Amino acid sequence: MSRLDLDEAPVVATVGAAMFADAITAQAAHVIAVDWKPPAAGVEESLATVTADPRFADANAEAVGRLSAARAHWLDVRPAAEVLGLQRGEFLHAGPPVDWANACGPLRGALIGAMIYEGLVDDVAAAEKLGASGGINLAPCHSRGAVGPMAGVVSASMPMSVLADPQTGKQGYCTLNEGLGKVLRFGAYAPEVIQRLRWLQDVLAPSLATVLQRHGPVDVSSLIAQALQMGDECHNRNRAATSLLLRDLTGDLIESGLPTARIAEVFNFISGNDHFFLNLAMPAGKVAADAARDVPGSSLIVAMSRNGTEFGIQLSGTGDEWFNAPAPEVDGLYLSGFGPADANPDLGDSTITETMGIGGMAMAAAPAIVRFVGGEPTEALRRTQEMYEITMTEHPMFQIPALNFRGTPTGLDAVMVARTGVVPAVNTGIAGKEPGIGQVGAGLVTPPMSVFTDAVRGLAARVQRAA
Amino acid sequence: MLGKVNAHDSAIRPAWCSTALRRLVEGPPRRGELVGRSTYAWYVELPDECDPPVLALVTGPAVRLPICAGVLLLPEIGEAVPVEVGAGRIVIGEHSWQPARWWEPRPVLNVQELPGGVCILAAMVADEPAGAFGIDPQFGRRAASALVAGDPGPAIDLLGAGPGLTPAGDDVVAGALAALALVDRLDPTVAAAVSAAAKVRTSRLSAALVVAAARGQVIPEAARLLRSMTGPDGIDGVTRQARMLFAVGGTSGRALALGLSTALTTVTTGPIQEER
Amino acid sequence: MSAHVEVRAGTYHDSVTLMLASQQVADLPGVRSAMVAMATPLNLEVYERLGFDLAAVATASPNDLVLAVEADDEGSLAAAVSALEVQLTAKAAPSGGAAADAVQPHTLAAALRDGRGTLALISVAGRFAFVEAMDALQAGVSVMLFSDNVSVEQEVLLKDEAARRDLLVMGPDCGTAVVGGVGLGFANSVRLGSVGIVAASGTGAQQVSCLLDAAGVGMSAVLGVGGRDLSAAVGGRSTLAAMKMLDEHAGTDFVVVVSKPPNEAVAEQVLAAAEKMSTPTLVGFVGRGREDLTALSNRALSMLGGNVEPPQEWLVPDRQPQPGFIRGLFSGGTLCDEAMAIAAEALGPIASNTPLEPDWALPADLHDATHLMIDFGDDQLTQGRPHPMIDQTLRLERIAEESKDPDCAVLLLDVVIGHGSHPDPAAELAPAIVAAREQAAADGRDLAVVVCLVGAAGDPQGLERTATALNAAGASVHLSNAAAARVAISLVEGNTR
Repeated sequence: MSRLDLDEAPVVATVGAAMFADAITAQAAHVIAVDWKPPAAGVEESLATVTADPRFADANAEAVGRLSAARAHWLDVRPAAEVLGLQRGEFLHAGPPVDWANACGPLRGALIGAMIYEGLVDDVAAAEKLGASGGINLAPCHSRGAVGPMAGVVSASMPMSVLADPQTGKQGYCTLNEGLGKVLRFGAYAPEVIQRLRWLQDVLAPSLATVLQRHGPVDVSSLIAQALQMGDECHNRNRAATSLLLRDLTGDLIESGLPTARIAEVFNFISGNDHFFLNLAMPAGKVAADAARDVPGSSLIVAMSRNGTEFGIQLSGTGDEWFNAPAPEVDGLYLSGFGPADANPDLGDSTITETMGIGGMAMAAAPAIVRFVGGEPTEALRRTQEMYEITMTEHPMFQIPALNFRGTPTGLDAVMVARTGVVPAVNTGIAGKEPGIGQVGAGLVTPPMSVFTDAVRGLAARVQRAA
Repeated sequence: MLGKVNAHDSAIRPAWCSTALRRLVEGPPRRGELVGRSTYAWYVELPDECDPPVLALVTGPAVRLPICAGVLLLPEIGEAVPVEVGAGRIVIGEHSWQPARWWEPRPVLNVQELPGGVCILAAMVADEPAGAFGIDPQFGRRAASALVAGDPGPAIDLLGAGPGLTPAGDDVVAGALAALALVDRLDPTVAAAVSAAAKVRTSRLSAALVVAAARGQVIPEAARLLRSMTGPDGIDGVTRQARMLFAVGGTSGRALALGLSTALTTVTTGPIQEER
Repeated sequence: MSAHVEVRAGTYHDSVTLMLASQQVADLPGVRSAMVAMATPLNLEVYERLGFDLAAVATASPNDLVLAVEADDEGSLAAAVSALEVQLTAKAAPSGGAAADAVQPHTLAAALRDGRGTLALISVAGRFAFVEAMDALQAGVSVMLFSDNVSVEQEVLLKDEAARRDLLVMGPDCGTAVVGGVGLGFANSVRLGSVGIVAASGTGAQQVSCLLDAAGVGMSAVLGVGGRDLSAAVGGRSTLAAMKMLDEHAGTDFVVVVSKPPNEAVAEQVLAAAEKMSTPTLVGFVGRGREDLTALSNRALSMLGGNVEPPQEWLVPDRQPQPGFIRGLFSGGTLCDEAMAIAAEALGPIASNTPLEPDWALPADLHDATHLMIDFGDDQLTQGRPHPMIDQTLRLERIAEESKDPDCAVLLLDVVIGHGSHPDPAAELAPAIVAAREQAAADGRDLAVVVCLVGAAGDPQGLERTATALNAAGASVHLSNAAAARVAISLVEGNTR
């Protein structure tokens, strides 16, 4: 469209008083009516500042272009000390920065487990003492090119999957998925949890490294694209993707020269864990989101994450600044024996999947789990369709069959969230709030509106300084 | 995009009417008949003495014929419903429409500025495959050139020739007639002869369109193409609008363009040489 | 207390179904705990923790389903078990259709994404309007910005963005436009034709286009530019763009530019641009001490070679001047200004809420024992209520009030019909006029009512119908606002302050 056509009846998009739309319809002309609500109170000036920035449109196009063009290949599995330079006593965690005093139960539990795993302490009491005394260093995974599900705790000895964009070489990292039940990421630290971590380190990691060397890079982006067409949204459902991955690796696993018993061990572990792929989808998201960082003026969300105490986001145009609010409760379904009273507030870096355009964004692709959103496949479709309102583009590779293979809504825009009041659809697991309990359910999160309006204000402040 | 409306909803709905229908719609009520129905267009035939004797009700993506009224949607409707046009309304069964606004199917052109655009159009028409017009383009060119020279014979021979709801031959003749009418070079006796012949040689709908064309009334795609020839977008504009016109119908758009192009070329640069 | 434990082999349910079933059964009255899960070791741990008997599931494998419910009594238990059965065997309820209905867009960006929209009409409160307008421009779509209270800085930014994209921003505070034969905002069904109008004032554009329409001249387009476009700060950006657009438009043979007297430098620019246009262009700066809208329209008509005749009137015979004052009650700001300018010349100061001179301001209660004219469309009087062209309540109240005021000799009203306006203003005004005249007559006065009716023959309310109804109620009705003002003046001749 360009120029105003004076010879043709216009098709008029109307926002505001309905009577004007009615008057146009009465003239037998077409109207596209906007269902408009005022933005969150007090943010309108910042919205105007940000959108009036001459760099705005180009900045967002640049940022989301990088995000949606990124591809991730799984290259290797290496210790965190090696790829992240983590020292003993240094721990990464999910979400925005937090200290021991403010850490939630599951995060403390996971840190306790990690301290024991690293041999820093011998028992829980010593770990709590060390944590409380400030004897450990904490930093967000996001600050080190990594992401972690739930508590997201990473320590020096943990094996990390290394993913990279084949074009740019930019890397992203994530731990190996521990499986279900009592696991560190949900804050469990019982001996069997530590034992599992050691098995991951001693058995699974070297085996996978061997297999990957033989197989060559695994195209994780392509697996996501395929899995979206097989009922996964790659956040709360990873069954298809895990199966595809295993199918891809099995030949090389068998021919790896590893002892048969170990091959079986590795195969059965991955096969028995539908969420194994989540820990690859997440760093793929990290590779994409990090590619989009630091475009001045851009309102693209490049990190959206929770530490169980706070929910925080970062924008491309606001550097390393976090915009946080108390972590919300999860509206979910609970495992037998658990209920909302057992649940910790929202936790984990896994919202990197929504940040890259899958997970809750792609709910329409995953009819098997639509009951999280009220039970109707139509509700899942509606939810995904609504996400196009607050995203900048449609993913060129990730598509939704039920929407005629439309690309997933990609590139969350803080400006659009603040304007529409529509918040990102986020799927998530639910951790027990007491340390050591583990997963108690799964469901949906409604991110707190204030993080988006604060982020828009933060961006507006930078725009004004730049002007 | 287009919903269904309740068949018992008898509210009067707005329509945007071609000014070609003005006298008919604002005149005394006339009985008519709904002779054709597709998803996006209904065709109504009226007594012969009506002008025009056919009108279309269109919506959505339907081609906006110069003798049509546009409506926001076409409702569900039964068989053999009574039709009445006049006294400010178009009534079909339980439904009635009244013009909320008028649109002008006759474009206003700055004739002096046409030649540049005509050359572009002629070149684009020449580039189209010969089979794309629904008739042999040579016959079309001959008929259009003859009309410029004041000879209606070849054009009359072409009426009713070719495939399509509106036969391609009619489209070529309509294009040539419209072009001549718009640059004020149409001999009234030629126009009358072709119009009279159309009434016996082709369908009533197509004949009505030929008569409208002789008054310079065309579909919007053709009007936009003609306007683009004098518009600010230059070659790009003409090329874009020509492609839009070519895309109309199966062969209609190209056939119309052939008639327009040949007549305008002949008028602005003299008769074109017949090709092999 | 009763418990039910059951192991089902070979049944497969996805975990969501099972979690949902457990949860819903656990919520039933009398149910203490419920668990429905595959018999994995992990789940059996939970089972044991909930207090169920492990022996009952000793033979279960992870491929089997365990149903365990504990309730206060047998009745609750039976209800829970049958509810569980329903949960597990429930067939999906049919849902409306295969695809969800498309989500209605929340922003213009979303509304314009599919490329179908060709123009945006924005009427949200001014402080929200900028981002919506920017959406439209960035989608390549021109904007009619009805909203007022948009800052000058934002107005300039929008108009610069529009210029970069060869688009037009009509407004802010643009009340009327006609594009492609469709009236936007408050607009009249004027006949199609070849005169293009560029106007800084909505009612000004409506008055000129309706007077041309009444004289048989049709319009190709009416483009509003907003009341501030010709200020020094905005520099006539939209006016110049609209003039260029009309100059390039094959269907426009004559252009009328109408505005109150603008900033001098901007006026020169506009006049220079008009000079350079290939389409004949009449620039009219109307206002106090200058020509009025009717005179401008007449000038346009004579340039077009038409017959210039006085605009139509529906008169009341034998009306004599009365002692007292004119009380002008307006819905259109430009019409109010014009009436005040004409009246001030003959009668001296006219008190108003939008006074021509600061000294002439009405007190806050809008009453004074003098000639006064009120613009009910002024921002101050439209806070929290619809525009007086739609909602006549305030004016009707004031008419009733004036009928009892011995100082009121003449009521001068404007009635603006067309799209967007009240569907039948005469239906409310005519009885009010009758009542007012009767009230005045009861008090021994002959209250004259003079109406300026702005409308076109094609308007949905019916021009003739509206005029006749008002005339029958005892008002003289004039298509020309200036003529109406002069008639009102003639009826109070000599009654200066």
